[in-house]
Amino acid sequence: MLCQNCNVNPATVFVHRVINGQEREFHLCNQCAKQLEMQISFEDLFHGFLDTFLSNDQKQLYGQPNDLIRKKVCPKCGFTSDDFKNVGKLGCDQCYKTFREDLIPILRNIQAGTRHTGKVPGKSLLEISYQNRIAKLQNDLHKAIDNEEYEQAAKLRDEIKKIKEEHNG
Amino acid sequence: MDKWFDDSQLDFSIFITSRIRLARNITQYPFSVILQPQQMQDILNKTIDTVKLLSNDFMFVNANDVSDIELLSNFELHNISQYFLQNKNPRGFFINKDESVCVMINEEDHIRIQSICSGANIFKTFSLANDIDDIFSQKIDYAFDNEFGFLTSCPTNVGTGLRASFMLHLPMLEKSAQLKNLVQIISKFGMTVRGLHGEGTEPMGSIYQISNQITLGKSEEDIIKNLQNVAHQIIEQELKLRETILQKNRLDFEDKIFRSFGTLTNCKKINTHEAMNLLSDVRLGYGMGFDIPKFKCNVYKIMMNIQPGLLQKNFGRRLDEKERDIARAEYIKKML
Ligand SMILES: [Zn+2]
Ligand SMILES: [Zn+2]
Repeated sequence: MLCQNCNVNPATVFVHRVINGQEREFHLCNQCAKQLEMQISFEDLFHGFLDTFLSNDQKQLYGQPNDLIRKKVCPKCGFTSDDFKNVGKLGCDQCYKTFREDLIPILRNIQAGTRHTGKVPGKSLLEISYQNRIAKLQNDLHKAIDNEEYEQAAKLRDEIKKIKEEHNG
Repeated sequence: MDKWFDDSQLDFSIFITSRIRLARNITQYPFSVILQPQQMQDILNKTIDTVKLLSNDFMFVNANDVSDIELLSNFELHNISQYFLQNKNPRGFFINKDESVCVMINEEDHIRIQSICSGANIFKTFSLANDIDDIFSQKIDYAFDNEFGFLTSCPTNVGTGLRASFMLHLPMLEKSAQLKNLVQIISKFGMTVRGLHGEGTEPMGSIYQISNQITLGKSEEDIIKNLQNVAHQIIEQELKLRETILQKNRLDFEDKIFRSFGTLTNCKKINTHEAMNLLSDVRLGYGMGFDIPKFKCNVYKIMMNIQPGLLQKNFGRRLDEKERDIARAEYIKKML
């Protein structure tokens, strides 16, 4: 979906405004949404002073000051952050990127982490298990070095080397 | 051909089944919440073509082309979910010959690959589903992200999209006060306990499903190993309780089990709930080494076949509740 203001950029922000007591919704791109926010803070300052500078279309779009609610909208499926909050589900795969900031705290609550460490399509599980083992050992190695446990670090280094050789051999 | 549940040794195991489910979505389509019926139909056609091309082990069942009894039977066999059973959307499932692998299309996710084996065979079960997953991924662009893994409609399934579960027979734990504590402890390990038919259903026949809730931040292997550990600890408790009752009160206990067998095989009519409880007693008796006559097949298979859907399917016509209770008693007698 394209931005309803500039008709050029994809709409990524869902703007909800109350205009003359009526609820209106607009899909805007990031730039236009920022412009609108600035506009509104000006309106706050001058209290309608800018009225004269705005075309009728713009007036309809901008409505009254202080009633702007900024929401994210998924550019692929049109799902909004409110939809996500209400349904608890996502609209498409792109939603995971769009609502990433809202998702992370939820995932932290309900999952064991926020990063996938399992299967990757097209890669064998053996390969993934190898990569996970190396990643864990390297992590341990860094910890050992940080704690100045050099004997342990040397052991870990040998182990990593051995596993890599076995894997590549 | 033998089905996965035709396992003559199953009666002696507390593990009834091992199950795996992988949730997958196709990147071109929105997720189920906003998916339109035409898109659902497209996904059905696409997957039918893919399966045809890649494997001839599978039969396709269009859910809107079969009777409600047929669908209910597949639900009772755990081939399809409650959600899948109850909606009317374009949807269907692929099932292989021994019914160990079933792929639901247009469930909460576009593709849900499920596998099931009898007993404690969780890694074998996983590889069944994993192989199908590999086959699908050759022809279908999965919704996948390097950070979050396999992207699912609900964030509770994201990452591995894996649900691994054991169905356990826990009659002694159920009777003791320990089960409630256990459920609480298990949830701390990121696992959950449910009844025979999953979420929101009442436990029947002392059968419980234990499964992982965490799908992200752990690998498939770790998730399954955790589940195995927890399952073995639960089973240890169940075995301890069985031992205790034998030492304390063997005669009363044996008497009760044999009476259950007597009622089960001599009644003229019986409802599902009572039959499940009596079958559970008999199964417990086998497990404890009592000399109870054996049925023609394992008790779990009988437990499935006395459910309303399968009972009517095997009887060959629709039966009302009274007729079902009579048919159920007759079926059990016939299996002796
Ligand atoms: Zn714009
Ligand atoms: Zn989306």
